[in-house]
Amino acid sequence: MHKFILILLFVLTIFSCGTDTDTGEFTVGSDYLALSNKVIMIDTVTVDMSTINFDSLATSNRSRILIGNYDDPIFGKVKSDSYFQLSTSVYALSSVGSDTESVNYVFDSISMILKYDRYYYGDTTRVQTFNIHRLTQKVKPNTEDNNFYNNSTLTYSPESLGTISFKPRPKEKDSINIQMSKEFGEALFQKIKKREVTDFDSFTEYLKGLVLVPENSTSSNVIGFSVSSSKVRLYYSKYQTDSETPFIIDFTILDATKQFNSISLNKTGTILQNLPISSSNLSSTLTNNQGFIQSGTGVACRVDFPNIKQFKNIAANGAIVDAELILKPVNNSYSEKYPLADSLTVYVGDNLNRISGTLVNAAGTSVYGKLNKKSDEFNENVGYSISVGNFLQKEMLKQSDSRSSLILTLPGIAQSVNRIVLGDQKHLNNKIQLKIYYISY
Amino acid sequence: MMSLSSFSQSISSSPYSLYGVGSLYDSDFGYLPSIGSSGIALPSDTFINNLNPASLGFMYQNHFLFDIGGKAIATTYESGSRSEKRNNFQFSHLAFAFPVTKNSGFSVSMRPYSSSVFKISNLKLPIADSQEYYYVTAQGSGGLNNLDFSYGYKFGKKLTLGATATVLFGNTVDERSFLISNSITTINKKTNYSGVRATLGAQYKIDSTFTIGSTFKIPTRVKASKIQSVTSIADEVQSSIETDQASNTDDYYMPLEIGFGVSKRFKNNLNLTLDYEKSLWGDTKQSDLYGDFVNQDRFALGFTYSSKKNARKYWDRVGYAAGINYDTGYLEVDSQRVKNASFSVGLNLPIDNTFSSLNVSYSYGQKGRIADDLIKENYHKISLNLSLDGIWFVKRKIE
Repeated sequence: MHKFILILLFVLTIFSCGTDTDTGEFTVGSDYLALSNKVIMIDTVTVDMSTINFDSLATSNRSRILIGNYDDPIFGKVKSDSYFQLSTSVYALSSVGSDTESVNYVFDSISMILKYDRYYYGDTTRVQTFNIHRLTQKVKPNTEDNNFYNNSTLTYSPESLGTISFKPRPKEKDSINIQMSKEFGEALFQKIKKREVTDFDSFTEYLKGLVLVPENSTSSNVIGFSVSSSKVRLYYSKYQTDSETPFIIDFTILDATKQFNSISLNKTGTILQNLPISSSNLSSTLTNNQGFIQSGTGVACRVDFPNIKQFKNIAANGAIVDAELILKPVNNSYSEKYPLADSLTVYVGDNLNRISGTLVNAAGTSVYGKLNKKSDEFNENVGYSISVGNFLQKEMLKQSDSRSSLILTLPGIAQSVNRIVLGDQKHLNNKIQLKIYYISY
Repeated sequence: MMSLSSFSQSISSSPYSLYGVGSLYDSDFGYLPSIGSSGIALPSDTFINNLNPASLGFMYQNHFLFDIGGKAIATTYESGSRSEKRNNFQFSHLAFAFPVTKNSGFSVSMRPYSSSVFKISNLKLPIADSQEYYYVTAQGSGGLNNLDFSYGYKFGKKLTLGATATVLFGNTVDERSFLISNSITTINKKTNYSGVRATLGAQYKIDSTFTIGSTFKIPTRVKASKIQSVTSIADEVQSSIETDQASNTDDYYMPLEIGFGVSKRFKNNLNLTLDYEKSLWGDTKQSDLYGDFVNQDRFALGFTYSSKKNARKYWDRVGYAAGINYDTGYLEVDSQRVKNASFSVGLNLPIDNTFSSLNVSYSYGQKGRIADDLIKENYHKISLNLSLDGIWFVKRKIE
């Protein structure tokens, strides 16, 4: 009998160990499952939209010479002048070993070569005209941070050193070539030849810098040129020789911090003409339920979530686990001429529009608004989607009364003039949407 | 005693374990599983009758009874679209009883009360008031244990009264992951339970072949407290929302349960047992958190047959048993009761010339039904209960 009991215990021990795996495909009462942890999606939370205007954007050292002007049907007259300082590596003519030889050099021509960097905005089928002027003031920042801003200007001589009228072909062509004044070139050549200009200091004393200014009469487009590969090229050659080999001196923008674009917007008569100073905002209710963004000029769209703390009252314990903000560009505000950017840059700011940083996700990575290009008949699905779950969960839990806003800009805010118009919650066709996913626990 | 530790990890996986404190066990001693778990009016003479503490008043003197059991269950789960087979094995109980005086007996037993083992994989659920969905993956484990201390006393020759003090304890662990939009939220909840419950019982011998019995299980509250952690994974980064947060949660209520039973012997070798029990779950203040509880009726009918007393051949001493059990269920899922019906047959195999025996029982049953949100469980269950009589031990020692 002892054996019997031992066998029984043995069997029972085995019993307690083995069981088949449960694949978990059988469930009863899905309503009950939803009971203890409620999952809800709320898309009726108030989202306020407004437009703000940054007073200054640092536009120096942005690798782009941005020149042109165009009349935007919504935003007003946009204009960009580009200032820069030139320099070269050797302030001397070729092989100046003997003075006898240098005497034989003669000036041929001077021109500015601007390399397209493929950026353009506006109507490139229309002619653009711009002029080169000589600065009467050194390219030297007034501020302690050594930056130039979109509203910085320097004085220049009214006399044009060169002009070009052309139809920009930034995608097809490599560069444009502007013939510059012979007198200016000859004078500069003589300075070097006579060794009155021998180094950077004497050169910048003589030529403080140049500015490219678009002509107001031809307002059509804004074009970007490369800072690093654009140049002023001086041609000279040996007098009375058969050899056709020309000599050149290239003046380039060696110091990119000494180049900036002065971008202005004349809003007179537009919906944005009452845009207040940078610490204030213009509600979308005063601008036809629209918010505005324009790069270069500092116009940005601000989004506020005034009622987010009320989420704390939904359940004793709950969390916003995900949220999606979808911003829709207003129909007919964009076209081939004014294309939509692929993304929106999102910053977190306070009520005075002071930016604390970019919007980040839980991993600390910057969050962008991603364009959904799936277009349909009424473009209802065209919109920028921003993941704001991490941001709103923190906003909900924030102890203080202060609220953060999201400030939306376009990428390349300091070196382009793209713009966009977004609909607010009351906009007829292109409403901003906020979907918040919440779970109680 | 190694088996004791196994109680706390009894394995039983049923989708219905999601509710309450899990699926309740039926772990009856001796040959009770063979007779449809009827026996409120049976005495604890040759085995420990766990259905009524009053039965201990009928214990024979000098007998020390011991009972241990286990079950093997093969269940087929069926929904409208699929079925799945699962086998599991579990300990049923461990108990001993001894007479205190000529007129009274005492027993201690340990058995699992409930199992909250369940699993849900990627269940798609709608987000209320929207066209969107979220997905739940859940896993439950743990369960409650039942420790009974029972005492029965015989007044005169016919009436016995008894009482049981039940200690309920244990914990359930529920881990759920919610895939909502692009985030995964995991809620890990461990709920600890503890409570005490009293059962009163009576048995009355109308004559030498006819006994009636009754039990009253007093309603009680099982205190519950939880420790919960909530984490969220978004953008491939896990962040903690709540860590090991201890809090009170809704207590679990056990109802008033009233049982009646009769036992009648015919021609000295056929015995009939018939029980009815009403459990007033609907009258408890059970929180919705545990599900929808309704009043439950249970009917049990059983027959035992043994050829002769003092038979010479072994097989003449073997007892045969059969029974049926019908239970309206205490749970309502989507306004549908989860009913349970089963029949059983069994053998009582005597060991030596004492009351010791091995009880083997087979039962087949169905629980639930196939409906929109319900599933049906068809189960084959084999119970092995070893009932040992202390006299037998004494004999071995003398040898």
